[in-house]
Amino acid sequence: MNSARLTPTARAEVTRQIEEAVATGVAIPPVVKSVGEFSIEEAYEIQNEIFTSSLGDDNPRAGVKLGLTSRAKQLRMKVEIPVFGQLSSKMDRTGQLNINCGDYIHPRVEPEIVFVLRHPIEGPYLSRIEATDAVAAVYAGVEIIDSRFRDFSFSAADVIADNTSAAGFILGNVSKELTDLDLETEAVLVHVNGEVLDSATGAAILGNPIDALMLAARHFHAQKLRLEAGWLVLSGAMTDAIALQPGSTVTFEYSHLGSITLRGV
Amino acid sequence: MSPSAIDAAAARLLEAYETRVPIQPLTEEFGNLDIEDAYEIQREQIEFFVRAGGILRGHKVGLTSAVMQRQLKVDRPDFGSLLDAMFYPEYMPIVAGTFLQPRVEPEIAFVLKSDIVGPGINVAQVLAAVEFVLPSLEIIDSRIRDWKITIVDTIADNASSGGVVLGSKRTDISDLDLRLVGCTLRKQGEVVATGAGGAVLGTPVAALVWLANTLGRKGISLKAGQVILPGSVTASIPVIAGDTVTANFGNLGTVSATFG
Repeated sequence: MNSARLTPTARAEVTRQIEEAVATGVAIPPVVKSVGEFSIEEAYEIQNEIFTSSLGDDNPRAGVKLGLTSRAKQLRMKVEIPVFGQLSSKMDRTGQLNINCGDYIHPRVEPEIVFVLRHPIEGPYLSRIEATDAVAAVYAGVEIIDSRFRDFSFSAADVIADNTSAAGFILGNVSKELTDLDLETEAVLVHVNGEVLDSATGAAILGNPIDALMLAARHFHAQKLRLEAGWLVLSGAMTDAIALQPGSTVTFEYSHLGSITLRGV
Repeated sequence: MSPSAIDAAAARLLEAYETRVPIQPLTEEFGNLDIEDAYEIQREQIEFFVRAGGILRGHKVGLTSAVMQRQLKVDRPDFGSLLDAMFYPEYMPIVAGTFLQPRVEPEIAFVLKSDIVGPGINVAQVLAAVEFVLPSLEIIDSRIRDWKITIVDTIADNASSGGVVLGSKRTDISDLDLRLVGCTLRKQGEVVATGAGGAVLGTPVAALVWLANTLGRKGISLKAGQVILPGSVTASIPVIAGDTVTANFGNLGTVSATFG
């Protein structure tokens, strides 16, 4: 793992490139190509800076997310660690059927298991009992990811600095208590334009999505961010991401958590 | 294709079972085979096995996922036959060397309580004929080198059948939506694949309907007591001696296979 630190100029350049890609909707090459390699630690610092500056009274924090939580996805994206990102209320597309693809660079959608926190989590270490106890409710969710990097091609440092491609999220309309679900066999069917294209269970997320909460507690403790009551934790994708295109209809149908339909327009 | 060429192709596959040495794709040696030729080649081998004492215990449906159909450039599933010797008890090591290049797939197996005589069958008739479902692992295998199969290669090769391990927990399907039954497949404890019943042609019930109608047009009916494997709920995973594979279907139970 790289431990190099960027010069202040190079670091400002990373921030500038990513913020510009967000603002203009034009994808950029990986930032490590122009400024050189930088550490995972520094990538999270850059993520925090960019994300924090996007917050405001009209855009409070909404929670956190995990990415690259399945071995298959880690191998495919050539980034072999789970990554963490942050969510704000402007990313919330809950209740919205039509997703305007033009608002994004190249949006992809993926089915998730979402936890709502009952009380704050301090970390660093959370037992599975504490993690279970911290979950007020479980929802089906969809994450809209939209890498600011061309063709979703990036190194770990790139994707982390880019807030792990976070761009939006949708919560389903069924809420369950964690104790009423077996997340390891809670299934999702991915229907694209009427065809079942993929399926998975919660076990695709680190073996059990509750473990994502334990990892998030450790990670955000190190980042000095307390996870607050009411926040969402998007635990990771259950299947491969589906490219959302104008005219396509995608439905994620869960065993016990209802279903979520999106249309690209 | 000429009857003698069909005989020759069937003989080639039977030899591969015997020697456990995979053969070249049939299409390379025998040129243009169509799907009907391929089912004839399959039928000849099954008849050979039955003459040697084998008992037909059911059927399997394959190529039931969108991904597999795209890979083999087909728009429909295929079928094969399950003979008594292909059923392996759970919790007894299975000799991996019995197979040529085995892979495992988790399936929701149907057990029939009455005959289904197609064609003209729809969902209503098949549901009425299902006695219960069992968690199962299908061992698929190919007599074709490196699994370099086209649609006709796999059909001729008994739809790449190898074996079956049935779990022992039976579930009545009356209140069950098989589409939304999840399955987590683990090898040596690690999650290697996950999926749901709906990955099988939208619902495993559709595979049973297709099978009843397709076999019915050939004058074959499904029989009470038979086991029908409707297709895999996940991608298949390779297995070798020393592997233990477990499929967890939640309320439908689990099934394991250990290869020695």
